[in-house]
Amino acid sequence: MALQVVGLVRRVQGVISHTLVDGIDLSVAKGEFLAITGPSGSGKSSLLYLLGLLDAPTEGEVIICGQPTSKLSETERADVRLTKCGFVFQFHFLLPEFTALENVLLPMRAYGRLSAKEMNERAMMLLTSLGLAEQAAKRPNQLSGGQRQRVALARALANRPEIIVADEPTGNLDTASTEQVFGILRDIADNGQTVVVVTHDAALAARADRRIHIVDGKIYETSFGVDRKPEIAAATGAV
Amino acid sequence: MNDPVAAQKVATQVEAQIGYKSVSWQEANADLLSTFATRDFIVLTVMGAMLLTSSFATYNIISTITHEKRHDIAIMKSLGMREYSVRRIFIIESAMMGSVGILFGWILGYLLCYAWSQITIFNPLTGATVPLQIYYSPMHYIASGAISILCCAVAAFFPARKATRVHPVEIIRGGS
Repeated sequence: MALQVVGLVRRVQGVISHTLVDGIDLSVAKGEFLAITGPSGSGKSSLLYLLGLLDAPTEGEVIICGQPTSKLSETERADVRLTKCGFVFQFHFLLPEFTALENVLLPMRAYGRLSAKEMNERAMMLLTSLGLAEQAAKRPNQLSGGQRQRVALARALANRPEIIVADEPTGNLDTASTEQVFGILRDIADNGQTVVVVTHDAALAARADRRIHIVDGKIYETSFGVDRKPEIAAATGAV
Repeated sequence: MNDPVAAQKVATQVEAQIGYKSVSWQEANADLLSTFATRDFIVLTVMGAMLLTSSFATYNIISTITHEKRHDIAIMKSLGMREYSVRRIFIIESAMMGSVGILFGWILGYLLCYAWSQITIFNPLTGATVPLQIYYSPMHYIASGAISILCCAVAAFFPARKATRVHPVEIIRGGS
């Protein structure tokens, strides 16, 4: 199991206590493409942030590649995020003063394992595979929305994470760019990395391996995509 | 005497030996010397107040910068950069700003000292007209630079820490 969630609860304390995620159990296989849908305020983004270790649960456990994470310190959590999770946001996902290449280099620099040459090569390879070789030296304000989103994807892939987590990655894109980004996510999943996506786009969600629909912080229903591979089906069963 | 500061000790010895009252230059000018002490205290207080003011300015600037960059902070934390790494960026930025200020301060300070050294005074005791004696020392520049950089770093530390401590989720939720 690439990702496992047991009894996940996330409450926020305000004047009134508000429960965002209300007891969710989930198992996601390696290479599975999972779509999370739900109405606004249903808790789907909150669930996504918990899956990507951006947030810590109030109760329950998030297990990434067999490693339980809810008891980790902030620094340990950051380390796991750096190596195991690639996060793609809907807005404000690129550093505006850096070129596309420099944005993709960022996680590799933070990890510090590769030489400068190796990092540059890998960054160029990622950008080229996403059709952005020409855009490597451009700043985000010189790129279109679809191009920016692909740079964000390239950056998320930089440290070869086990899991790609994306919050409405096609939310601001036109049809052509949406198709392109979806195709990339599909390829990533086929390559053996797990992809979890929150989306409003029902058509997109239907083409994922599995779709879970969240209402009021709980899984309301689960459905499976027609293209789901047999080995993914075997790994996840009917959960 | 070879060592002017030892005058006090020598005066006591001479007094004991010859039986006449001996007065060292420090005793003779005690009033004047005490005004120097007061002056030093005032100067230090004023300089301290100026440093405090510029430290507040640095605090304010870094608060503003980190607020403007909160989305960038969220991105960096979300991709797994450690809090201290992100915080360090702003402290270094503050130190760089401080360095520019220190350089200007050194140049301005030196020019002012030079201007003062051109002022001449008439000494009634010797009847000569002499320029003001300005004492230059590299220690002045080193000490002022070191203290200023320290103030910059400390003044930047608190707002940087506050900003980089924020959970990326709160920044994202807070409005795109």
